[in-house]
Amino acid sequence: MSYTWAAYLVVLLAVLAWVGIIALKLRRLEREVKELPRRG
Amino acid sequence: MPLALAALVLLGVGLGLALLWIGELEGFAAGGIFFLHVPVALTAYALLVWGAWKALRLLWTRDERYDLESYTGIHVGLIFALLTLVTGSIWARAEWGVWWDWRDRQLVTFLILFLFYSAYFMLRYSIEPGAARARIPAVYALFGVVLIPVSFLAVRLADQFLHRTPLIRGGRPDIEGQVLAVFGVCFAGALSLAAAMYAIELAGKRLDARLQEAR
Repeated sequence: MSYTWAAYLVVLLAVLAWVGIIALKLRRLEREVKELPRRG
Repeated sequence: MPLALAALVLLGVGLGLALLWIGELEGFAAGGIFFLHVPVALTAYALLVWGAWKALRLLWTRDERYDLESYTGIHVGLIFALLTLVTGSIWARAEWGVWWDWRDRQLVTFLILFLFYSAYFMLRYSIEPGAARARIPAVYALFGVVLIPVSFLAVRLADQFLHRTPLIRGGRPDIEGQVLAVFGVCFAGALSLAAAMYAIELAGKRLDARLQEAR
């Protein structure tokens, strides 16, 4: 693999990792919002 | 979503053209990294300036909504700064045969900028939630913005030119024609990606803040 491809792959993986992290965070927030009325 | 879609299309087209149409830049080892490394670096600068601008607005108006905007700008800016360091390091390995060179002033000033803004998070979370948590990091973010022109101009102030800048030379664009066009598409893609990430991060942080208040 050339250095150019390696650099492109690193950025792609980093963006995918960010998408995964933010998706988990938003899912947690959504769950917490749903739990709010139950707590009164 | 339109921003994320724009980022996907622009970066896909831009980097595809860079690889298939332009190939490697003449005179550079692994010159194809130019189309990713430089737009990502310029976007990192733009995001950190945006974060500092919002910090200034916070201090000026005392409107606390700017706090999360400043924090998000710095957060996403740091992700881009980290990608700049990693892609730059890969390019350095191809070009110079080493992953890092401490003699290069632009590398070192960029690393200082990265570490400075990394410490922003430590400062922010070492302060109890409230007005102080908004204002003290805002002052810190404003100090950091001074490093950006120093980092940007470091290679031009340096007396040795290890770190080449194919983008601007003597005040004029040093690239032209198809290379400049493809670079423009990649830069627009990086800015769209940053804007999409900023919008999503900000929405998440605002929701988180509202939840904390509701509890």
